[in-house]
Amino acid sequence: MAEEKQFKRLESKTYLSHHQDGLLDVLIGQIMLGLGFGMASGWIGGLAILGFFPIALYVPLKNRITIPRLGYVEFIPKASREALLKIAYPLFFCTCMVIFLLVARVPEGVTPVAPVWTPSEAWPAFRLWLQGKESLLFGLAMFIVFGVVGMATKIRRLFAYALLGLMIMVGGQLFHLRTFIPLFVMAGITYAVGIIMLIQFLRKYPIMSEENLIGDRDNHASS
Amino acid sequence: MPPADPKNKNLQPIADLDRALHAPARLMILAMLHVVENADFTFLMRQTGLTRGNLSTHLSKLEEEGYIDIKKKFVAKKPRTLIRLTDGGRSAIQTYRNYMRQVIDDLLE
Repeated sequence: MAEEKQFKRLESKTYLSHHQDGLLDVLIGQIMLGLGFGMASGWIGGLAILGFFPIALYVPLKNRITIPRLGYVEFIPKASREALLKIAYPLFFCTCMVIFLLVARVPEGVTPVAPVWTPSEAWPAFRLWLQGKESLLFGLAMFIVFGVVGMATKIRRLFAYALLGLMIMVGGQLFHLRTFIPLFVMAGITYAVGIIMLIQFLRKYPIMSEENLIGDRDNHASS
Repeated sequence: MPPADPKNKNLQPIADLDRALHAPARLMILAMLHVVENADFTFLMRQTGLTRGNLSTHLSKLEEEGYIDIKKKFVAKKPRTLIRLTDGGRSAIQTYRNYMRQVIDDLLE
């Protein structure tokens, strides 16, 4: 039993070590930035493109930066982890889009790049109520999604992002700021964390060359 | 190396330990492979801290014993050596664990 726990700990640490490259944080920052720009400009097409764009870059960046330094590994698939991760991003994106579509307002003085889709005025009172809670709704969406992904991956800083996201968005709500402003703040924080982690990662794990491989530990090579 | 023949027969179970497994480097490799589906050479080097030559020697030994399976393939025109624990390797770790526990328990009695 104790050995099983040790193997699980080893697996967990190995899994986490592959997410210490900061790429995930940069990706989150980019998504926040995309959402923020989308909201600031009132351009839904841009929101979709800027929100999805980082996802397309994630795997190539992982292949280019992480794998040559840390090596390639396939983890034993865990049904719960896979399922949670598969739904997390679409859940977040759809939630954001729904909130955005429901409460979309073009900021004063901004000419939309493309026409803003206007929902029917079927529930004007409800829509008005939602518009007043826009930041709070985004905060809750962030809290849930980061929480779900954190639980699935056991990456602890995602729980911190969940709390921080909620706090920043609630702060934005309290100070009556436009929703994109707290989103930009959140983007800035995650970007900064990601860049710092990426620099640390690059320093800690240089690309392996023949020179790097000489003079390491000798562990009972004799058979 | 031939198995040792201890004069004190109480030590015989220790002499009978699986020598292919009973080396820290090989145990590290197998422990890593136990918790992943498969991994490449660089990953094992990073995780175990072994040199290329050292790791290569140990992997050859483990492959010879049938504990691991080594496959080479090309990904984006670059060679990648993928290493996977076989069912035999998985059961060997289990057997080794149980055997070690038994040996230590018997010695301490």
